[in-house]
Amino acid sequence: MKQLVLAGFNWTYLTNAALITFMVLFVSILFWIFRKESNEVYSEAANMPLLEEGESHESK
Amino acid sequence: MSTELEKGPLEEFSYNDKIVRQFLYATILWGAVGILLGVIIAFQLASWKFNFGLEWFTFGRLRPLHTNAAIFAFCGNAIFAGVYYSTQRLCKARIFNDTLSKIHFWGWQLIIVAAAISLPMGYSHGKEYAELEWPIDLAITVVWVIFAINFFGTLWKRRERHLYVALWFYIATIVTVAVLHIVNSIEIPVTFMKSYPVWAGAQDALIQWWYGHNAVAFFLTTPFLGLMYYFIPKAINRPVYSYRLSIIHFWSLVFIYIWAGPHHLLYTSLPEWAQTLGMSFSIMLWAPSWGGMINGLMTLKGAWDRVRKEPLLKFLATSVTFYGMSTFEGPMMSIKSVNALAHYTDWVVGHVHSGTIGWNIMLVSGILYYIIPKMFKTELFSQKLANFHFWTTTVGLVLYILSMWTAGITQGLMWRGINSETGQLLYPNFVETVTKIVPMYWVRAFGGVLILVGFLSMIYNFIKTIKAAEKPNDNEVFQAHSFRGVDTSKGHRKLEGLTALFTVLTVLAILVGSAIEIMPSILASKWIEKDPRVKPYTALEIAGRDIYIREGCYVCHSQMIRTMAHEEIRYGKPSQAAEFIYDRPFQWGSRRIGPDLQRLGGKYSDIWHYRHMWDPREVTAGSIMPIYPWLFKKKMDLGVLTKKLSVMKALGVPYSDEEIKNAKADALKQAESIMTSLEKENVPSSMKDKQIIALIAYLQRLGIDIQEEEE
Repeated sequence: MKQLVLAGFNWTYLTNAALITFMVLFVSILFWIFRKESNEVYSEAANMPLLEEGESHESK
Repeated sequence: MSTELEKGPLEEFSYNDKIVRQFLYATILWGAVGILLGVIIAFQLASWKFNFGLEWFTFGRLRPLHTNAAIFAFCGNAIFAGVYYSTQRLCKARIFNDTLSKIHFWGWQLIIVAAAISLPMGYSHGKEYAELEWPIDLAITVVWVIFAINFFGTLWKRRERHLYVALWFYIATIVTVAVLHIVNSIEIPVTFMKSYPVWAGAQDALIQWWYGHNAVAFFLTTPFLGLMYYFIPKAINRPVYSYRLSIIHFWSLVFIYIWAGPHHLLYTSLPEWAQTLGMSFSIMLWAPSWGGMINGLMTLKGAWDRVRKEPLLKFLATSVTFYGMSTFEGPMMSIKSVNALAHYTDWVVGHVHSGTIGWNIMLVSGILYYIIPKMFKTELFSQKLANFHFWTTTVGLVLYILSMWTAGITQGLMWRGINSETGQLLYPNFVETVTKIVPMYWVRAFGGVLILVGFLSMIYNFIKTIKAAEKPNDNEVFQAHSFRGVDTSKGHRKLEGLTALFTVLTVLAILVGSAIEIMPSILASKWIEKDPRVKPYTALEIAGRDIYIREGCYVCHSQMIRTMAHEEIRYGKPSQAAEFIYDRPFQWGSRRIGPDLQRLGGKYSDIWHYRHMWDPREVTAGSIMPIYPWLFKKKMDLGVLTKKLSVMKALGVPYSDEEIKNAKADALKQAESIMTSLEKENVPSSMKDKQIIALIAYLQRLGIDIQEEEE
């Protein structure tokens, strides 16, 4: 059975390509996410849930 | 937020908190029902007498009801309550449409009621966590789409440009659950409450566990992670530990989770590459899961003194801890050699409950303790009682997990014990391995009672809290600036501004894994070599098989012999994919509370089965199986067989027109031959048209095709 299936899935280049693509993608995402310039953006975003009550102004 | 320049016009709005409260009440109600059902079926395993010989009350029918109530009724309502509450506040916008909210709420409750009626009546697909029949499946689809419209409509109306991380998890939940539910529920109706899946055998198994595992992932994990990212910072008034980590957490989790399904099918007749792939991704899943766990726990850093004092924070901290523990245990159990021992045992049951009780119930309880006093602008009636709830749940859960670890590992080891000199099984009698663990079933049931008592104390606490409070004001007006016509964002933040693009990318992330994992199903005809010895079921066997499904036999009996020495000695030749091509639905099962039935056919006489279904203890001393007296009273429904066979034929089963036309007559003829053998043992002839006969026909057929030729 294993041989049979492997015969039908003989695309080793596909698994290699997928490994490299996803590894590169993951590492570049890491670099992108950890850019120093985005410090401010992230701290603002992280504080979003804490801000919501502030703007209530009247109660009918 | 942000600078003056970015702001658009100031707008007024109010929140729809009525819908949130409705979903909260439903969560509490169905939570109690779900836990109560769990306690009942725990006692049924400890002693078969708790089945009371009642048709609608047997374990096989109540266990699907328990899982459906816990997952879709309790967790479902909790998700909707939490999502509606937090989305409105994170978007600074009222829920898109109040009418849709109402339809969503009542539609979902109607589905739950339909499940609560139809499952005990035996209307079931026979696929775990997807038992509900086709009309209910359709209703689920409609209500889910309404939820999606309401959610995305709110995002569209939002006054906050940035989508907070909680919202990403909600997006992933909504799109993925839709994909999973639709693909797994493709079925052809036979009658009003009966249908057959288009997928068969190994194909069906793979689709089902791709669905089943991702029901855990996208119904019990991602929405709750979203809730965690909102409610933990809210409850302790601190921002999440690392926003960067949450981005990595989100994308890697949704990408990897979807691949893990085949770890439910290790050592089965699924292609080996799919098994290894499922295992590898399950292990990888450890990383993003712990990323989320660390992010949740570290958010509590610096507030540990409060965790010690406030029951609400105890619940939240414990839930994240259990999330971490069960997401470590899960990948470990996916390793093939560990799975070889753990699969089909109570270890899996313990693992599931450390997730559902430890993570889901604990988190929801924490959220409830936060949200209810807040909504009613009051204090909780009793912190002491909440503490009591926390400790009963924790102690109950520890008892549950420990007893299931012990039971699972004990039974798993007993199954595989082989005498090294004689080469024979150490415990050839299956029931020996069951009676050994029954004491653990009592411990588990006691743990369940503690959890139920704790939950009821929470309900009492809330009733007192709400009674003492004033009616909440739903017309409170808030103000926020719109951001329409203003655009200055960049980076991941810009991506979050583009809801549609974000959603498309999320869908892509889950489709990559799905496409690869489902491939063996789509290509089934290529790798499942047809075996000419394997014949379609006869009409009577189909009738019997549908009774097998109705009674939920699959919740205790597998039909899948794994490729292991001890399984081959105990049950016979390992199962092959070709043997299941006519199985709609597949009935491989996931837990062996009783033995595997794949090669049951011909092993015992007809009268053995007859007496076994009347009272299992007549033929197997110490058995914990319920009795099935109604099978001896109720008549077989043979009129519908022509329709059933013709649906099967439409799905590719090679029945001749003759067989379809004469389905009833053929069934009667086969019933007569079984009756002849039973009459010799003094069974009254009035039994000839009773359901027990059809069931015997099916049980005697199991695994026969391949055996015959080899003998």
